[in-house]
Amino acid sequence: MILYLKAGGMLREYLQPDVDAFTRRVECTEGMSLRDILLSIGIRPVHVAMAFSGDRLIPLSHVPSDGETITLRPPVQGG
Amino acid sequence: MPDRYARQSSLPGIGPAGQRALEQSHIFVAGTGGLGSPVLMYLACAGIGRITFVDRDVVEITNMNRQILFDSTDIGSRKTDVACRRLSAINPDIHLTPLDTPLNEQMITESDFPIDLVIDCLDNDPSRRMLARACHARGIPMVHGALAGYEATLAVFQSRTGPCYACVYPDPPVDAISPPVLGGIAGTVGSMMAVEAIRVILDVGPDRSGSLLLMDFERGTFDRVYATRITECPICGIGSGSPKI
Repeated sequence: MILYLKAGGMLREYLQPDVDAFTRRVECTEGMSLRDILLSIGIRPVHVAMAFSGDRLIPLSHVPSDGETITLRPPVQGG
Repeated sequence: MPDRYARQSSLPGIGPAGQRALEQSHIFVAGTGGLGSPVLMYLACAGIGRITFVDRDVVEITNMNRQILFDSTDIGSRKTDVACRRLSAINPDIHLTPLDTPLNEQMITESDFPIDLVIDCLDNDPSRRMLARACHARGIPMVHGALAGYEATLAVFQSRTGPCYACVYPDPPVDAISPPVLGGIAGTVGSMMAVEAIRVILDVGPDRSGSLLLMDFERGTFDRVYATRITECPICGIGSGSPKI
């Protein structure tokens, strides 16, 4: 199945976008969790502070559906 | 003589009664840096009657790109001293309590004056968790802001009725100690935090607690996303040892 991952900032370096400057198209096996998908493309989950799909925060245990777009956020802790 | 607050007290949702409510409110601000600077300045401008703020740092040259409470002549001075002077000049009618010590929970849970709202302008996760614990213990809403690079987060947490900071970040995030920050982004987000604080105090507009505004100034996107309370949350969840709701 196909999944689209988006990221900005420092996470882009790890994501290696290929659709546009912020988006990567990922082919993965149905039933994989987001955590496993990230690991399969070389992104350590520790670099992802949160992820969202539509208007909902999702945990890394989320199992994406075909065609889903998920945005990843790096840790943001400065003040 | 024209009223200092004439241009805001005529707003729907404020009015003379709202202005009095602002003047009778007490806000606790943790951090006087990139976010804390605009937050404190706009709270002072708005006439928040009592502001307590905590920061134990001195002004440094590297603060100058974003911490607009301070200027080059303040380098080496205690931030709380300079902030107090600057805020008093902005509005001499408000009561300021600067705390030049490390943040602790008792500043909030044992405050002599009841705190209506806490604003998180901190720069690290452990202190944010401490603040969230104190807010949950007293049922105080917490306005949270954070930034790194081109990205920023803004949220209001009311942990007695919705998710708290630790529900959103169950695992302490790994982060650079001094992430790169563009001053204008700190100013924008800090100003928005001050607006959220006033909205919460006056109950203006819809309740947005439990949602996060995720901003990416490079992509030019603002996404509002919704979090849910987690039962195993170490701060507000079952078994956290916090007061039960």
